[in-house]
Amino acid sequence: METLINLSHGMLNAFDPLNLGLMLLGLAVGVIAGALPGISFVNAMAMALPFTYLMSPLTAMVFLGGIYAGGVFGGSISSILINIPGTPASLPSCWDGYPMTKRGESTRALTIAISASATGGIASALLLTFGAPPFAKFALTFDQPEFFAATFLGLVSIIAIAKSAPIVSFLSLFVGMAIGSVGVDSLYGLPRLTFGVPSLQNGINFVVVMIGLFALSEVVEMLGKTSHGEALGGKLKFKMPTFKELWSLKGAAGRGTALGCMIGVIPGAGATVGAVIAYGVEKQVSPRGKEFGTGVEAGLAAPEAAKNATTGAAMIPLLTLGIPGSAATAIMLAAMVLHGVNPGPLLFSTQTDMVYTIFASLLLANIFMIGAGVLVARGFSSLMKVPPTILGAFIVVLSVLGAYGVRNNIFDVYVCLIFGVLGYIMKIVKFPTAPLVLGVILGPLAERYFMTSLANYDNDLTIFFTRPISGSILAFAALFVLWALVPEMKAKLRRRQAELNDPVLEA
Amino acid sequence: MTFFQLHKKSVRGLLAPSLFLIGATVLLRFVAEDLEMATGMARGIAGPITWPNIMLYLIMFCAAAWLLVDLIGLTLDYRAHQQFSARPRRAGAPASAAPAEAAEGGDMRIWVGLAIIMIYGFLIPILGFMFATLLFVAVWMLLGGIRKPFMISLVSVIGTTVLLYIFVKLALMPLERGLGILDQITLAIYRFLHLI
Repeated sequence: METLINLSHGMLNAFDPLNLGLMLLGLAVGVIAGALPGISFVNAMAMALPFTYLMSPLTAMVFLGGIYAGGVFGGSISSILINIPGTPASLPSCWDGYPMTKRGESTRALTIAISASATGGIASALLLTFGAPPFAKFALTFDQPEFFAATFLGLVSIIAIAKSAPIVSFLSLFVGMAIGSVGVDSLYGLPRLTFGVPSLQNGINFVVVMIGLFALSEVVEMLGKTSHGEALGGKLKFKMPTFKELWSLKGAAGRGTALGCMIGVIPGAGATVGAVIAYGVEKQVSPRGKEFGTGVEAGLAAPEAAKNATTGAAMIPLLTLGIPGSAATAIMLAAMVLHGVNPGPLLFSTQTDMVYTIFASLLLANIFMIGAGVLVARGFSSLMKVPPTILGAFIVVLSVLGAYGVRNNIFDVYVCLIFGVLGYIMKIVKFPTAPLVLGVILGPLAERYFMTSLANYDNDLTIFFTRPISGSILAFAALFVLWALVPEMKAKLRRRQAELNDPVLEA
Repeated sequence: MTFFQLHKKSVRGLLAPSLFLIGATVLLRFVAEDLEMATGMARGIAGPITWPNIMLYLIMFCAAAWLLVDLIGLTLDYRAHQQFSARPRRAGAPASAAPAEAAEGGDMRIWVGLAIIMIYGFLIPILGFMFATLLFVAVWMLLGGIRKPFMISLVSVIGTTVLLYIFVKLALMPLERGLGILDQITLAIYRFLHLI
């Protein structure tokens, strides 16, 4: 009851004209920044941070919360429309969202994405409101081995995405993880796999790899397939899904939301791990799992819901323990510290008004996000009417800008271009690119948690299995691999047996 | 018919896993510039090259497994083919398995497009982002089959200007301005457009 009273006070504060106006502004900034490759919403939050000096701590948090909620969704707009993930967490949205755009169903894909994201976001904000204190106790038991186990689970979930070719998929994943390990080691300061090239000492950024592999290879393929007069993917169908159709995705969105809420609360795991695991799980449980990757609605709804479900959940360790689980929450922590607010368990008793205003504004931001998302997506959707040659030219320019913008370094542009060529070759030879990108994103995280775990626990490798939570997550990862692989292997063996018995079938 | 004649195309497919295997083995030697120092830095079982080494060994393992699976597959296919050849052919069955020729990748335009993108990237530090982009967009449109000079000029000029406003004016990104005189010209245009 006390929570509801506090939440109603928070709602009143959130509806204050200044707070509401700035939250809406933050939402718009977040959605646009997330949708534009090269300007991530985290950059937008960092750029907005100095402006919060002019605001009260409460207004500042409402404003940044708006950018955060909008930005996490915004990345999916470019994923769905032009196959460039605006944020790493939007990567799974490319897999089924972009094929829908290719079929001329961009409006439908965007509506599904917005609805699922809003569902995940609202559920997560409610979880934050009602579940923060008990979750804080749970998160307190997490240490480096648990973070490693959670990241490991994210990595192995790739098996569900590419279970028809597990060996090649794992090979691609390990190549990605090896690429992720290029550069100076964070614990010892020793350069690895740099071959004496100074620019490689800073490592290979995953955004650069992602843009090269997905965007550039797609653009050149588009150039080969279409002539200048054709619209992308043939005739555009501006068909909105009906409420009944959206309701039919409740299972996918619900599972995604639940996974996102659970994973979001783990500091360091974040939206990317949540979205990838949700996609993998959905592929397993969905009756259309085999069709995933061809534009299946459930394959879009699940990661979208999971991605936004991590936003509220990620605020739990931030507000209760002062642990920022991601770059975005780290900026929110910085804003709190700048304004003299110390996050931690005491915050709930000393700044109750502020805490519940944050909860309320996050809830409202996810509701208003539907409007902001629709407006920005409509603007982007009209891109599909542009001749593909012109669209392609500007996707290349945006990709180059995106790669350059990561560190304002031309070397990143060269790396991006090389990965563009590699991406096209990988496409021709049907070598999976998604596991490689996932490896580059999660590999460095896994390495950091692995190395710090060993450093903190006297090089004891068994620590990953003997700690209850870490051991349970790893056991779950093993079960997940078996769950994904065993039926596929059985089917493969049966097919092989049939082919050997009747070689005509093989022909 | 020999094993290799029958599976010429598939045997060529064995090249990829072999390359991964060899590549990872070679990289193990160059994982750090000074391997001895890297090994010396290790505390207990883990050091700075532990993680990349694990990844390279895993790549080698997967590549070897891929190679093995493909070789077993080829051997089984060969045996099946021999058994099939010995049997009388079923009515209506194809005389031989026509290899499905992959049509992808054949388009010359794709490779020219990739080359243009590479050249664009390498021209940015020399010509500056603005001039390189104007040129790139125009060339790309020509390659895509657009032949109207007015349309090409309009799209490249307006598109580049909009991008400059977003990235230079709003995002404050220090984009490359080119070398020598091009730097001066770019600065003058930035001032004219009120970008700086």
